[in-house]
Amino acid sequence: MTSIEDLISSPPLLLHSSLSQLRYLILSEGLPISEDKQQQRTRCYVWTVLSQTSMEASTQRYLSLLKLGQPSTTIYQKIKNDTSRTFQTDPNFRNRVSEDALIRCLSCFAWQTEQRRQNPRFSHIPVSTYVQGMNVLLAPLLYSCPSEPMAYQLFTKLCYEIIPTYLTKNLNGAQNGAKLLDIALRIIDPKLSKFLSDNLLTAEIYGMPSILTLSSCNKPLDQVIKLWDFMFAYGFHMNILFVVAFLVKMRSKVFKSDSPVNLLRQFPDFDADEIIRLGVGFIAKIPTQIYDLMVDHLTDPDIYIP
Amino acid sequence: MNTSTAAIPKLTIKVVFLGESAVGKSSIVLRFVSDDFTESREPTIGAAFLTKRTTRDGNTIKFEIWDTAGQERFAPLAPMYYRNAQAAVVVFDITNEHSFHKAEDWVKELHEKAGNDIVIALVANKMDLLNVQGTILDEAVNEEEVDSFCQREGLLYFKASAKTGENIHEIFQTVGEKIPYSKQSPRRGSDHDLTITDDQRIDLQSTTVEGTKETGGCNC
Repeated sequence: MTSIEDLISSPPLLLHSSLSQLRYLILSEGLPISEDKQQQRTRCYVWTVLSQTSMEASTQRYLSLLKLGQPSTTIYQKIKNDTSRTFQTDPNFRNRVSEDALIRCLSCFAWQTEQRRQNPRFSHIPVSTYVQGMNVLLAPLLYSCPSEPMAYQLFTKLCYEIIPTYLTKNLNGAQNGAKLLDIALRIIDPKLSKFLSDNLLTAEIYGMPSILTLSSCNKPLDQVIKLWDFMFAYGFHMNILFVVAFLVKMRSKVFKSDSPVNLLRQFPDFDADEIIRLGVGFIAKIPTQIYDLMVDHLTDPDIYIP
Repeated sequence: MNTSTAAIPKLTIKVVFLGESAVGKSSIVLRFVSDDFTESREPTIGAAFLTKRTTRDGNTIKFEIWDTAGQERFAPLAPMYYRNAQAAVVVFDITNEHSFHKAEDWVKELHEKAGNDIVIALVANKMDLLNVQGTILDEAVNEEEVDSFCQREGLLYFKASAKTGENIHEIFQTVGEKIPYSKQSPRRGSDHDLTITDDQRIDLQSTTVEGTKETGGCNC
């Protein structure tokens, strides 16, 4: 048994210190990428513990939402439009996750979101029933979790609590993310930042896909999963710094390119350990005030970015 | 103001693709740019940018294509792409009436906000699906309705299929012919205009753009 499995196999004595310990183990040892069912299970448990997602009655809740059947035709059409096109070029994903599973989870989410709307407690950030991008966020969860209800439960945690501002009808949250990406790049790699802005390439143009999908639009998926291990441990705001890392990794190519905009359309295949190492290294350079905005922009739609 | 590179007349045409999600915008662009087609393209997020060079009367025409995401949540980003475009291609799915109404909305928005000079082409995609014998399509678009809409709005109209390649090149060819050489220098407009000048620079004329135009000067 690895030390991570060891740690999560019994209830913690002290929640906070055990969580820090688990986070540290993710950073130092990491979870292996493997086809093995037991390994998958461990990853899902770790994500659950780190995000403090309760799995109590998750299957029951999922089943009762499933019983509601298809959501309204408009929503269902939108979902189907996208699920048939989600990670279809990735054979590993197709082997492990069926389109039906994507449709079921997204339909349940639409129902639950409609129910939540009746409750004034949740009205401050109006998360959408379905918007494009949710399919790409759900995909790594279904890919990594041993059961659909568990993936669904983590998905609701992610959408309602971790990154709600990215899932509203308008794009405010993601646009704030893009502004912060511009700022972070300017601090970390002023030369690259200047080159891109001279070419009038702003984060809103090249960064939107990676921001909105928490980098899950990048390839390969197994490396995305490792980035998510890290972000479940240390926070999804780190995604902004990871996008900076993607850019810094390809900087020499960008400088040489006669068409940087073409180059930035799809980031090249990446190695998660390398991106994490770079991204973590950037933290020291980011002023506290900006770092706090990075943390807050995922949950607060009204922040002011200088 | 940097309207440089005016010496050599080479036509650069900026085209923006608009339309409902999953009507085949990216597929049309892919067919034109690399003569390729795949059934399972992933939905576009934000927008994608592609270029393609062709010739007209022995002169090079460069198409700079912004392929935008169709879902309504990305609509706020669209003006950034269509402002300063010389042409807009609005796509709908011939088997899906709703997508035609969305196309009507886009045309209306373009007329209101993109200026009068913009060339607009309406494209009915997925024509191959209509040609399958024995298929009954309840939601197919009424073609008379489309025709009268095009006449009323003064649009170019193409029935195309990215899958078979039918009429795809004709869209770009006709759009290319409609744009006079004199119009190659981008119109300067309000904030957040996105243009690409001849040397592949995007010129986002925005109040946030600062500093000079030259690159270089090592900061590392």
